[in-house]
Amino acid sequence: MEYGTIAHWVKIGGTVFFFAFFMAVLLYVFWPGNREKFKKASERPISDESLISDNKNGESDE
Amino acid sequence: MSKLHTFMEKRSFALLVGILGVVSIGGMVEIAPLFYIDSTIEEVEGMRPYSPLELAGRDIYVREGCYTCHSQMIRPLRDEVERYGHYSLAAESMYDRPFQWGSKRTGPDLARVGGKYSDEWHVLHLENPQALVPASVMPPYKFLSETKLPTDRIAMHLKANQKLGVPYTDEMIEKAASDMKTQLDEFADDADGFIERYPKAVMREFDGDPDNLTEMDALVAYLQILGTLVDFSEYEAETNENQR
Amino acid sequence: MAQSRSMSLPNAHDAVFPIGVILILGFLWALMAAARGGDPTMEPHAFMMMGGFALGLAALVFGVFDNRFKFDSTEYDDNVIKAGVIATAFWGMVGMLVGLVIALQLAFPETFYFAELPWMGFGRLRPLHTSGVVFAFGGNMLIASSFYIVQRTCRTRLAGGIWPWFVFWGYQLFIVLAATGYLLGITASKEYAEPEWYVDIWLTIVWVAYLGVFMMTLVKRKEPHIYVANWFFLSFIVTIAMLHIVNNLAMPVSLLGAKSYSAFSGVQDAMTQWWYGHNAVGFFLTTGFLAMMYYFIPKRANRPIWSYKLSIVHFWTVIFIYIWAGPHHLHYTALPQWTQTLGMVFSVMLLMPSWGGMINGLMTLAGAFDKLRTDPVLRFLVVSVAFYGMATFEGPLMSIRYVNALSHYTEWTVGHVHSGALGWNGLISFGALYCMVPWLWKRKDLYSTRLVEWHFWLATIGILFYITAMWGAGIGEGLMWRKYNELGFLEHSFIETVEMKHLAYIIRALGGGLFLLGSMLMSFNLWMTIKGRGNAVPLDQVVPAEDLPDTPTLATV
Repeated sequence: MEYGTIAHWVKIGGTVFFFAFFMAVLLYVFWPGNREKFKKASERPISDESLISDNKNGESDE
Repeated sequence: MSKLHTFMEKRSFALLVGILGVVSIGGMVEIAPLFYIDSTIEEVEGMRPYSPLELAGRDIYVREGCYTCHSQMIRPLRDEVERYGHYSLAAESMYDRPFQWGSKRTGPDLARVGGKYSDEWHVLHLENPQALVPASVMPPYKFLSETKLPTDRIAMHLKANQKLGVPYTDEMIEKAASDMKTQLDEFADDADGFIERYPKAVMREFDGDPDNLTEMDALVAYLQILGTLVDFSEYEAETNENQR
Repeated sequence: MAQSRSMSLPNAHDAVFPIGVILILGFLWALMAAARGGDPTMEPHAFMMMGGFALGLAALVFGVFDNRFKFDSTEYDDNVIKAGVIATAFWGMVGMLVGLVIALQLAFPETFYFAELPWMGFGRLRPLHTSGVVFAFGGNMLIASSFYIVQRTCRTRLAGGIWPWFVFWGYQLFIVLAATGYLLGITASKEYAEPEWYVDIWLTIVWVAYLGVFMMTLVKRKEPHIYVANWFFLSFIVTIAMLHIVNNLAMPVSLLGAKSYSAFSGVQDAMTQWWYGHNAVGFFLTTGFLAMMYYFIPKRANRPIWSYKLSIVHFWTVIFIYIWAGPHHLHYTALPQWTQTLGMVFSVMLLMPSWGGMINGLMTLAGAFDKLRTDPVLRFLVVSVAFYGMATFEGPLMSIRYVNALSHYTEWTVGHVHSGALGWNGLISFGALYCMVPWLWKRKDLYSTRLVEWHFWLATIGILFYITAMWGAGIGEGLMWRKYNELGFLEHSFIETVEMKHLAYIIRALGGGLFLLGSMLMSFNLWMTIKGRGNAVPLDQVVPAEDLPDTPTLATV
């Protein structure tokens, strides 16, 4: 394989792949159905105090 | 409940697989071709595997972490070529496991240090760098002159390299231990055979103490061969197969 | 892992048998290496491993017979994190102290080199310093904080019973073997991957256990969505496993000896090494620590991350682009030029996701910047993100071929690494430690906030000394190496450039010394907090909660 061939392939294939990948990420990020999920998720660190209150109602997991 | 469990599990493993997919592409594109494209390594005359003594010296170079301060990679920049010599070729490190290109020049590049200084200079300098170069920040390696170099395991070292594809012949492995001593004495019985096995090898008593085979002998033997093997009068940089 | 689909998750005792088998096999191998290995360099290491495995087995037997392995699934598994926090502070001081020693060696070689002590040479101590700060300090920090964060954001106890403890102690054994190996001259000489083959195998076992614990905790989470910090942790764990295994492929000289030869040679070895080396920075020192940013800044500031959407874009782009950037370590070398160009392009692109992440971290404080004035812990976290931004601007700049022609091989690289390592990794770790210790030990506050202030300024001034000295030395020597006189000859001999750097070396050592001093203050402060002195009143002694000052960190623990 020549340098030229590789460079050609990498440039085109790579750009297309990266663009498609990036679009897929954006699609996921801006999908309307995900909005509520992300909002809840972003509040996770702020309200993570103790496990006990959480697990009282649920079953134990071990 | 198990349905929920399956759902959670699927999400976690999907994330794992997604990450692996994304991070493995770069390596596949950048590393894998180097093993297949012919033009990765130039066609040159003169490269050979290290002699047993040189290999032992190289192992000492690795052990002491010389690569933390000395590079072995001359870049094709005008000042570097003038300071250190012809820029380094990929072929020149084709038997280097691991490579010792380095990433830092606290001391000068050593890719072509072979033949530039006398053995005596190297020994004195390694024993006490500041004695020869007052402003040097290099550590002293006096203990190398006092440490005997064992010959009993060197054949195993060659063998390990052979398994990885370094072209050591069975004869080289068989004679590895005696070759270490032969290299110190150009009038040894097997001197001719040795130089045939390892062309261009420097055959000398390196540390000036003929009774003892020391780590200093090995390290200086290694330093003296660095960058001297390739015959640059035969090397055509502009030909197509050497363009990368 | 697939068969666990229908099985219940392993409980505490399930782990005893596999861990016992691993320890027994390790012990037997070490015994053979010690008894009949024939490799004199291996001997001290073999005895050390025998000791480590024997201690592990003893602990296992004691734990079973004393019935110690009973865990309460209604509580977080915090003891292993406490151990990790202490280990982090300890190894941090060790690694930085070695760094100070080698800085002094370059500044005053006549004083700090000892001809009769081979292990004191710069070449053996330098890997000890880099591994000490990256793997011992940084690694323990990552393991501890990932265990802390994954439990709290998944609202579930750590999976695997005593496996987390295996990960912790196994990792400490790895550190001790790696560190003593360098001093003994046992090294594979690949930067940041210097441990020899058997230590690499041991790390692989520990790492797989780490991945298992982390994954299974994610699997049993109580939240449908996996919080983004865990994405970053997962990418760090998985990618480091891949890089570590590939880069360390080697042929041992003997199965009972220390030395091995790399499976790759020359140019392929160089590319593999810097694919590893750069991504050790990218995934060990970046994505892992970004996970800390995405947890501790929101937590400490008591407000959600500025944009959760941006954090997801940040995640995928940063891991996608980072993995390509390795070849910029090999500009102008014998590596084929197409690879170099590819590496450069991706390195420059890396600026965008990096700054996206930085902005996300900084903007989390939007509207609450006054907290920086009153809370020095939050200041550590936020200033670390600013250093992250600075280092990730400098990095793409240095990856441009023409800049790299000047900067490569010089002290500029060393300065760049330290603005990232001290400024970003160091400061965010300090901030996270200051957060976690009162929370884990249930203390009202740290022992002394004034000491935190002192630490902050010592560290910041230390970093500034360090990087400005290295900028001057690096750019200076780079220019001197390429300077020609009017006759067309090279102007400077090499040793002149070494002499020129003498003052910079002294300033660098001073900066490093200040940074070390700061981390010693921190260790003292954390220790007194654990002991419950000063303001660190145990929380169970300070009810009712309404009387507490209105800061989230206190009220929420």
